[in-house]
Amino acid sequence: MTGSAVRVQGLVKSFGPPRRGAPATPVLRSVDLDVPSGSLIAVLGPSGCGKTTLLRLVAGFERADAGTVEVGDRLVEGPGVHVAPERRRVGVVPQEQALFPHLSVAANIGYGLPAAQRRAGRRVAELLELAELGGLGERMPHELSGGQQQRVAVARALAPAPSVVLLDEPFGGLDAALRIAIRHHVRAMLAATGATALLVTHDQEEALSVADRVAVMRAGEVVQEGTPAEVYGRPVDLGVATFVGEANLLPGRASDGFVDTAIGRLPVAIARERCDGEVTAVVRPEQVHVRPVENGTAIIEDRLFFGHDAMLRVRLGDGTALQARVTRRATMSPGERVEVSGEGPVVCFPQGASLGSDP
Amino acid sequence: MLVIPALLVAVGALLPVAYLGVRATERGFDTVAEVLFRERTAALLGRSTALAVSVTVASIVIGVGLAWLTVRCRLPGGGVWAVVAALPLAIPTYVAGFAYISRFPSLAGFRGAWLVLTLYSYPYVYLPVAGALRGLDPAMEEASRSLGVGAWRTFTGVTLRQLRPAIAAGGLLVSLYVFSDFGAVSLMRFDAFTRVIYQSYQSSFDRTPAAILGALLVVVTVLIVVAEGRSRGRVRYSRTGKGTARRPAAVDLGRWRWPATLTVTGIAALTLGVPGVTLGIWLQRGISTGQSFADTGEAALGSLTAAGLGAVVTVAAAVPVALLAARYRSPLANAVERASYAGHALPGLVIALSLVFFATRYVDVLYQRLPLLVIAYFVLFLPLAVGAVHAAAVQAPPVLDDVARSLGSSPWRVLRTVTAPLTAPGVAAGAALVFLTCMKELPATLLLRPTGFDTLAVRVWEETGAGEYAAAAPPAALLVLVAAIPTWLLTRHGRDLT
Repeated sequence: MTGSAVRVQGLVKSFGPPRRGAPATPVLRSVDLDVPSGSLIAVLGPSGCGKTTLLRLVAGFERADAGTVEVGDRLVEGPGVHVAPERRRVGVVPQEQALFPHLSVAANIGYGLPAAQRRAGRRVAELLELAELGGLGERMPHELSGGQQQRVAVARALAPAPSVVLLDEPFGGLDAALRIAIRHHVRAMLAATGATALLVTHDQEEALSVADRVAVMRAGEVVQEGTPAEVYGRPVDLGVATFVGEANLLPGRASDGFVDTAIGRLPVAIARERCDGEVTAVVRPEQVHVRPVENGTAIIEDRLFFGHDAMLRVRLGDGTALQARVTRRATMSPGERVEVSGEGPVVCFPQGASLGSDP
Repeated sequence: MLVIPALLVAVGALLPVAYLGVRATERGFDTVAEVLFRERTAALLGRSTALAVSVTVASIVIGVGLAWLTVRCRLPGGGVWAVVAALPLAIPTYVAGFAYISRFPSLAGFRGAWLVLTLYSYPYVYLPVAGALRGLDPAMEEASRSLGVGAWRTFTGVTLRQLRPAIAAGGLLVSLYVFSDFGAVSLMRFDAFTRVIYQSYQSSFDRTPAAILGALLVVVTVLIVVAEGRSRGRVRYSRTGKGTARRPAAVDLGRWRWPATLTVTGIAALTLGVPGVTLGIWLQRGISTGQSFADTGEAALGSLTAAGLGAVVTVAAAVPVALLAARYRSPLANAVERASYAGHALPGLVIALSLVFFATRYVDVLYQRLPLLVIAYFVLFLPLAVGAVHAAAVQAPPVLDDVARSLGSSPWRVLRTVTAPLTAPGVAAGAALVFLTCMKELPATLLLRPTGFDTLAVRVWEETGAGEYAAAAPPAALLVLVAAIPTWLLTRHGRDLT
């Protein structure tokens, strides 16, 4: 697909009372983001990174200090331009869902439709069906379960066929078991309507599993944007590497496309920079292999069992501690001697590279 | 958009009080000193303080005792006592004063004022203490007992200590109430501040001493309010853990059960029984002597008119203040909301007095006209309305506006289809509460009503003062009926909270 549903360029926003002397706190510093039509993009970042502010600016609830927002090739935010939220064709699913408590489920879903269409009722019935809420149209929101409320909120946002739907931490309030099912369902609803969606979350697992593309935000900037596999496998810096998934950071010496570490010689994934000499290698726990060996140089310190798999903490002979993900059948337990090896490819950064947490 | 109307309302609420200061000092500070430092003023301050202290002490004893008996003990009758103990709050002190002075004329003076004020203001202690007792985690008492401390020392060392903030706050409210009350002290002919100020205003041509004494009373109440604020600042939640506390097991009083029940019943007999029986007797006597009810009908109409206008104006003014405070937390919004509370603590008589001064000087057309009375209600009961509207506004959080806008609604449609339907019930309840409170108001109504304009409250007060008890009974009975409604709502609401 070629068109963009949303294009954000150089967006800047500061908050806070400009007290005498002290500047206002910048929340967004020049954010660029492109949401291709029909895709689901996740903006991933720790709390306070500005992701919710980005969402509110796209929706039109706040005014930008600088930069532009285009929705479906129409400039809606820019120097001297501020299109009201109701004229943007941007649907919103807020964190707390915010269903209208005084309206029935059907009336909630139909709220954004033109009066004639609302009265005809076809579109509402269609969306009730899509949300698998057939027969619940006359219920009041408080009579629904958390997952059902979530689906009503999504259906309500989709009803007027907006150019893009913005979802703010949409699965945050749900319990773990429900979350997976709802994720699938919401993705299916978005796909069925061909909607474009921008989802904001602090949960890396959620972002990686749900989205077509992930934009990692940190301190008011988008630091990396790509497919989930790219962001996980080719992080641009140590900060992204440690924020998106678990990572072992091993010192090593790199040369000729390989890096020598305490767990062996591993191929380097990409030459981000001229990566020679002293480096820090990012080794994911699933790239660390552990096998029990009598008189092994490493020792198992701890084991966390998750059901589907388990995480071991291993102490190498030189004192380095590592995390290793093993299958649930691996029976090694604390105190056991082991041998540790690694599997490439890994990403390297020059040693001393910061975690990137400071802007 | 909200800021300007909210500011205007806040300034309007503060203006009369500020003007009282101007009026009190315009004769120069020599006059102020002369009025303040004469022996009569010192004696007046002494008398009022003695009344406030003795009523507060008695209220704390009764309030804490009843709270413990009704919340923690198993009494025959169960939950009924919790409602009965709160009911006296609903009865205006001038109605109670009428009941007591008409049956027991010898009570006139300090004893009568003390009795009536104690019986009808102890709920200010009872309600917060009962609430605190309900919220107290029994695990704390159990911990004390398991550490080897006996039942009585656990009560004084753990339970009572936890209740101290609630007792302090309630006690300060009682003393504030005693200083501002006009009905009981005037009918009991006890020369406390409000009665002296009223007499000085009525009898002498020079109203400056009334203004100076009014300003002194304001200073006293402000001191109490500051003390109250401080005591509240130190209140901490009694529980630090998560989750909800268990309900404590009810104490079985054993052989003390019947004396306890007798005490609770006795207090109810004094607060509810005496006025009930007295009203019945005087009503019956009035009917048997063929007394006409036309006066009462006319006064009821006056009450409806004044209170209705008061409620509409006050709630309309409260909307911008409450919305500003509920939606946009900022120092300005906080200040505006605080300012609207000025009328909360100040005696109605003082507010009325300052409005009289202000009107006679600057807007003479308003003097002894209905609008001035409505303005007084607005200043006095704005806090009540702001509280109710604030609570209503919380029902429509801003995120609903955002969603509605993003679904294509104009701000006007959002107001019509989302904000208004969600807040309307709360606003209506607030208006009803203000309406009923206006109906019970006495001192401001007495001073500011148009000539020949009567309300139920004024009728009760005037007929009682003139010894025409049979004529005072019908309006008093109507007021008791009206007054019971908000208390019923209040206790129901209080139960929902606990």
